[in-house]
Amino acid sequence: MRLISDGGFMMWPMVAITFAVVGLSIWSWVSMPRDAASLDAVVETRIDSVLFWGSYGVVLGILGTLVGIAQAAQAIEMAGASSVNPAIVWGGIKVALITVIFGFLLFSFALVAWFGLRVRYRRTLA
Amino acid sequence: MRIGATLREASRSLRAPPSARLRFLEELRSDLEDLESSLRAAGMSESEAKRRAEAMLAPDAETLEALSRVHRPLWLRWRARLPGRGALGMALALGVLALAGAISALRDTASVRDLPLFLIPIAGIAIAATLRVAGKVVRIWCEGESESTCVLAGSGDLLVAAAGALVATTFGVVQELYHTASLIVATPTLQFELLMQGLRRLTLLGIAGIAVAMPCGLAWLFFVRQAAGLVRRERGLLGPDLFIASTRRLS
Repeated sequence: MRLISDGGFMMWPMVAITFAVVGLSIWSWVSMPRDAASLDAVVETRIDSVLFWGSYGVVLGILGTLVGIAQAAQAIEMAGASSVNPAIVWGGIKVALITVIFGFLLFSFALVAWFGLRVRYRRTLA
Repeated sequence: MRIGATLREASRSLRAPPSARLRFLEELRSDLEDLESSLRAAGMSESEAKRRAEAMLAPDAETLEALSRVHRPLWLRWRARLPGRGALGMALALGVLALAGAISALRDTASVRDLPLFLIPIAGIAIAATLRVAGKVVRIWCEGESESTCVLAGSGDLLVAAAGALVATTFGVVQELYHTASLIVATPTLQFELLMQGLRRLTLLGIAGIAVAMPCGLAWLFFVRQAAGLVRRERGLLGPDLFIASTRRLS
């Protein structure tokens, strides 16, 4: 929870996307038909949307980092070079990087889930 | 199969939003099957019953045109009242002129001059993607070109737009970094200020690129899922053989 609150407002949509990726993965796995005839574009699109939302998490993470850095740069620019403590700057950058790290973790999970689902889809199709 | 072919022909000719078109096709299929069953129960052969049912119920061009008129959405009814395409074209030209005027007026202001150069292609991509989505929405839900192939057509452009925005952003960030580094080397006394300014500009560019790419990706997913749902329903209605082309395109 602390990680989420430290990451700023961008962490909330990312948490929602995490739930969406996990939910979609489970749903795709459970509802995948066992016979090749029932496999269609809807099933395939659902599987691919797991990877889509995982990639979306990365992009959102990068966006969160950029927003954090932009805010920090603006604040530093306004305060001037002499009154800025490097520890505070690096503390801010560390926090800004939480979203991108979270995004990449989410993408890794989505990639593994998507790969597993694709393998099962192909095996059913064969 | 013959019923499927009749339905396919009706589906091609009817101009209606997706839900209305599929409802009509479902009703038509059910009526054709009911009539065929009753004709066969009356002693007719299977092929003759099918032929007779089609002759009695298959909608002709006039009927389909009338049905399309019934399902004509509000947008088309509203457009029919306009003086004509000339007036629309003139309104569009005036809008473009006003936009060009606003851009040229803003171009000389300091805040716009300071914006990163690569925001221009990103803005262009955003405008192109918005027009693409608007065009697809009008064609599918307003003009009734709602077959799965029509819904899918051009969706890939949105993914290309998203990728294009991200590529332009990457190039822009590299260019801004290079520009900032050159400035810092040239004027070492203003190192810190220039670094912060450069950082602000490249983050602005990154945010703009991602802000364009994300809705493009979402719009692509939306259209692909819509098309996949339509393919499933159309295949259920008309049989798999008639929809091989659509499924191949989706795969």
